[in-house]
Amino acid sequence: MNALETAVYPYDRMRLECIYRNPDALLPETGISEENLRKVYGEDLCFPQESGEYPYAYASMVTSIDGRIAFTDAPIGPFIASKNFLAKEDSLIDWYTLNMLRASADGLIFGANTLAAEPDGTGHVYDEHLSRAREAMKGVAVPWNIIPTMDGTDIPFGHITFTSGQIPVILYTTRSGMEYCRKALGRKAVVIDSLEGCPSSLDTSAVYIAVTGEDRIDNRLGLKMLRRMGIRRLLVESPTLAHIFIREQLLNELFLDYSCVYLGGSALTIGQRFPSFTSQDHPHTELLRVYMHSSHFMFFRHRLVYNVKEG
Amino acid sequence: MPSNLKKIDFPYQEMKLKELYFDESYPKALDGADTEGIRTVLGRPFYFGREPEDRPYVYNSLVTSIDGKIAFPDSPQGPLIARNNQYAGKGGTVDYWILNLLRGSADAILTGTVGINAEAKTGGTGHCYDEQIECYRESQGHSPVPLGIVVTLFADDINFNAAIFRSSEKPLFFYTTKKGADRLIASQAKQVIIIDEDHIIPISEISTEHVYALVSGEEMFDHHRGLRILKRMGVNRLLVESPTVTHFFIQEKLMDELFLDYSCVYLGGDAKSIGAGCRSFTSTDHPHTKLISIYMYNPHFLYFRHQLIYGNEEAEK
Repeated sequence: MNALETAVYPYDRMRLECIYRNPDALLPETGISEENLRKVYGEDLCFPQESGEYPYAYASMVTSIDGRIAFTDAPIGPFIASKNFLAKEDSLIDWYTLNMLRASADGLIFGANTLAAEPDGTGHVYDEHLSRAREAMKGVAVPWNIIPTMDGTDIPFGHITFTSGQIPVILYTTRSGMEYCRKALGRKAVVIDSLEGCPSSLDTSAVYIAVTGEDRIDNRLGLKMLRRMGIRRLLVESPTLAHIFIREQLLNELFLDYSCVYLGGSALTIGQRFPSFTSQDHPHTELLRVYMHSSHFMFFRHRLVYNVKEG
Repeated sequence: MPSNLKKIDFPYQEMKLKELYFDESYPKALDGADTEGIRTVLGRPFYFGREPEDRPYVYNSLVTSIDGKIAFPDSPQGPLIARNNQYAGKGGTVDYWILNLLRGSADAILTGTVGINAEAKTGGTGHCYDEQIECYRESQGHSPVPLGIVVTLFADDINFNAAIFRSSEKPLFFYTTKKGADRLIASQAKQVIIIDEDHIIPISEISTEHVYALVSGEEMFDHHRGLRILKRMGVNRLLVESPTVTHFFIQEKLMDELFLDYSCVYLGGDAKSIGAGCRSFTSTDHPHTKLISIYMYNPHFLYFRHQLIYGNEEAEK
């Protein structure tokens, strides 16, 4: 069994300046605590008091100054950061930020197309120090990889995520998707098809299939099920899922890294295949933190605010 | 004396911004504007760094959502991105005031027909509504009202009912092609004066008695030529209010700065972004920017000023 890839970073050169800290933001719960994190961000990553029946869900993305999340000729998200040729350490900080958010999460949710696009990539914490800190805090180093699929046919079951034996997986699907996945997995899976049937803790050596709806994925039920299974904090890594979760008022925060490049035109934006919010009904956000490393990159942390009406 | 155009009594004291970042290396060579109101809101005068010799210094003004959207699909007036931010407080007023600051700092303002058509019913005439800034312009020897320029390829997309075309204090000035100029000559009651590289009219001689057509190309725009002509007319600073023209000018490396106000609302989906419908920049060839300043009104509204940097080779150095 090969060990998952890890890395260490030049933390001293990655120190961010917090140019805005919202004095009203109450963040009493520690997401991840680690010495190098405090060097980079000046503090541990903390979250609001946990409450409710859903996981606390937050998304992470890097955008250009005009809100683009991918180049049309090379649609790989991290390029928006790494192709900022003036950024120096900023694109490393973008990657480190994703690691920090993974380290704080009990589960990561991303699209099946990510597996197809990144044959060697796995949803774990690459930063060695954060990974160790996570293991010390949560007892396990790797967060649950939660993969939504309507019918299972888009999942590459030969991907390292399924074959390495080191990535705990929950397939998040429909009843027909469950049938397909069970056959295609080639190993025993634990099927959970109701809120009442959710175990309060999970066995990391098992693969779980969460049936969230009959013919369609029901995210409200699905996230309730995940919460029952012990997923208290959920990192949403897919921009499309982030948009869908915002539509369903299930996303709590957006971590938007802002790379000072301009793409314009028809390059991809968040949730572009879906209808937009309207002028009368759209979510608002409140900035919790704004960080800078150079004048070519910013790091925003937004809290989403729903049901804000005119006046 | 100030123009008779409508003015707004901006509540400067309530619009004070917090400066989160300012690049002190930005050259303070040229005044943009310096009034009591500006010093109250920004905490310092408003500067520009340089003036190119062969074209105007070009900057834009846009407000975007946190995901880069510039208009709601159901109500495509740009200002709604600011106005429909219910937590903005006076932050939306600041967004509008910054547009006025940028208008007042310009010798000319370039507007697209799409924007004029979308906002035809608002009665806006595209001038600077801040009287202090208008007076400052005059004190510096400029006309109180910047020259309004409408960009139109063939002059077949103009809503002449819009207020911007009906003001008695604003000359009609089009940035067009030969084909567009021919159409204007055929359609306008007033004499249409052609401006091109062989026939330059100083900006001070532009009057409401005529209609003007700046011909930048035959059937397509030649923006390099168009901006050369504007510079020779005396336009040293040009504000671009059209998102599409902003994109075209960036493609031609003619845009110097971007003023992007950041309204903390989320639209997502298929709402319009800058340069929608046009070709994007690629992963190997795209402009970079450097932040000049970041201001905040409250945790729901920020104001960015970017300097554009072209050429990957230059960037990689």
